[in-house]
Amino acid sequence: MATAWYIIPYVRQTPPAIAQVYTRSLALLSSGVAYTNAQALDIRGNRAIVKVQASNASLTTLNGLYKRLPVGMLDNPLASLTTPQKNALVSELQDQGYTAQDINAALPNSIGTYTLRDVLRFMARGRRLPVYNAGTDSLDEGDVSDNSAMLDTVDGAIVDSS
Amino acid sequence: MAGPITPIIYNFNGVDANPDPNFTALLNAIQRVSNQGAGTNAATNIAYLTGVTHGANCEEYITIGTKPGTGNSVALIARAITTSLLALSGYEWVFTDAAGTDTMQMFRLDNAVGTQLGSTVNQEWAAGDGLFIKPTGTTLEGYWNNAGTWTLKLTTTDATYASGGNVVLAVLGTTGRVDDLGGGTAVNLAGTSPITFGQSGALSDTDPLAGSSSITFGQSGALSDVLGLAGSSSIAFSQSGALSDTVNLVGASSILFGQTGDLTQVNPLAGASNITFGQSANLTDTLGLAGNSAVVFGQSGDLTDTKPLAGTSAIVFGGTADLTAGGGYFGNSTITFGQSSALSDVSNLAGSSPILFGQTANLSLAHALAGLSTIVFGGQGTLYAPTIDIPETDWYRTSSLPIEQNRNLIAINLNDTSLVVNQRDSTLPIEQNNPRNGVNSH
Repeated sequence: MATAWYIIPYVRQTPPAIAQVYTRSLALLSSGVAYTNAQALDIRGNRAIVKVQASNASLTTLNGLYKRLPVGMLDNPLASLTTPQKNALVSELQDQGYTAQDINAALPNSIGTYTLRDVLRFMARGRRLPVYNAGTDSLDEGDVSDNSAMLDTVDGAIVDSS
Repeated sequence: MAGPITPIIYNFNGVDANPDPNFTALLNAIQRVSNQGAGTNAATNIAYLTGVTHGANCEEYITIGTKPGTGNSVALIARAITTSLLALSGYEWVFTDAAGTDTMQMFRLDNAVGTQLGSTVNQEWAAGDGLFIKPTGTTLEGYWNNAGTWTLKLTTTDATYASGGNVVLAVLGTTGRVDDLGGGTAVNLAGTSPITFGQSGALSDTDPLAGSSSITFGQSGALSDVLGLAGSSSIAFSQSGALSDTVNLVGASSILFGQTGDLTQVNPLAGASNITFGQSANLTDTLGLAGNSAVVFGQSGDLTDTKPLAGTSAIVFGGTADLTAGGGYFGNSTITFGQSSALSDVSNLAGSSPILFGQTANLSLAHALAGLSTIVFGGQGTLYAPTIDIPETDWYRTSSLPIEQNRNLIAINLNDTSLVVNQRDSTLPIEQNNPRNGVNSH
């Protein structure tokens, strides 16, 4: 089975599970796409970095549903990315809530000078815990809760056997 | 799959009470009814056990005597932060009584916002099944119990909540009945975890120490295991150490005391353990040293066994030593005393053990000397045996190797200075009965 990294949003689960005011789960769980294993790591912006192990056909389907990261291994450099791919990655960081200044401070110069690990660690480091907003019945961003230490755990839990 | 090792902490027994006084409510309440727990409101009931907190590595489990009804749930929350309902955080293992197949889900709770961890588990439940959540480090395990068998249904990871906390019970509706809420801090050294104390250390294990753990104390250390040291653990004290096991030391553990060491064993020491004391040491076994253990004292050592010493253990004393076997010494053990020693057996020395005293030695037997043992005194020694009761047994003192290999008992004095005394024949001149270069039966 092949593996790939995706950015996958959370979706609301209704009614919420017991003892919860709001329940969210990965959109992947309700996508209907078959996969062998999936490991998720919370990041900012009500989404998660997800390493998915599935058949090539399923990964092709997921490519159409979610943002697939352009390289497959954490230590892969991003130097070979095309300019549109690099722009898409920066755009994803901005979608998560990081400003251009945040990105430039953490990953100065071109994003192409870093590895996938560098970028994912940056995403996870700035994770914000969700906070329920009763007024809008939605989630706000709470305090920063660094989640980067779990990146290697997530990576190690799934081995590419293709 | 092993179930929880922690005890039931609340069995809901007692007079009916609404709310149950053992809980602090966060939303509605939990009541005690007919010696079981139940929700008090048709909606959600959430409460935590008052005054009970568990460590980060913990267990929480419960029996669900009556399913809560379609669409309703029962959940346990571990490592719970319970300052208020909207601050409720931790890890939640949820059983939902579904219209179709029942489900189980693991959530992380952040201020009452749930993020599902891992996939939904589909599993039909029966009345009497159980729910069990076990966070260990960043690993979260969710179990289901059916007919007494615990099955691991989900494993996932999360690092958000690393500290211990309260035990929260949530019940949706009033139909469900719960019982036997258990849990506690899980100090289960049953795995293969390496545990290292850089300098002095104290490890107290109140649950089974039954795995293949490697436990190292850099300097002095104390390990107290009150429920069982039954696995194949490697335990090393680089300097002084004390190991106290009040239940069982029956596995194939390797235990090394770098310098002084005291091992107190109040129940059977019956396994195939290797126990090494670097210097002086005391090993006290009050119930039996009956296995195949190798016990080595680097220098002086005292081994006291008040019950049968009956196995095939190899026991080596590097320096002076006293071995006291109070209940019988009739196995096939090899016992070696490096220097002066005393072996006292108040019941029997009846096995086929080779016993070697490196220098001076005294062997005193209160009862029969009746086995096939070879006993060698390197220096001066005294063998005292009130009776030698094997028919046709010959015994000797000689400066050469055993001269009657086919006889039942042979005592050898390599330096020819020992006394070999048979109390029954003590009135006879020793030399007369035991010529040095011949065989003399009596």
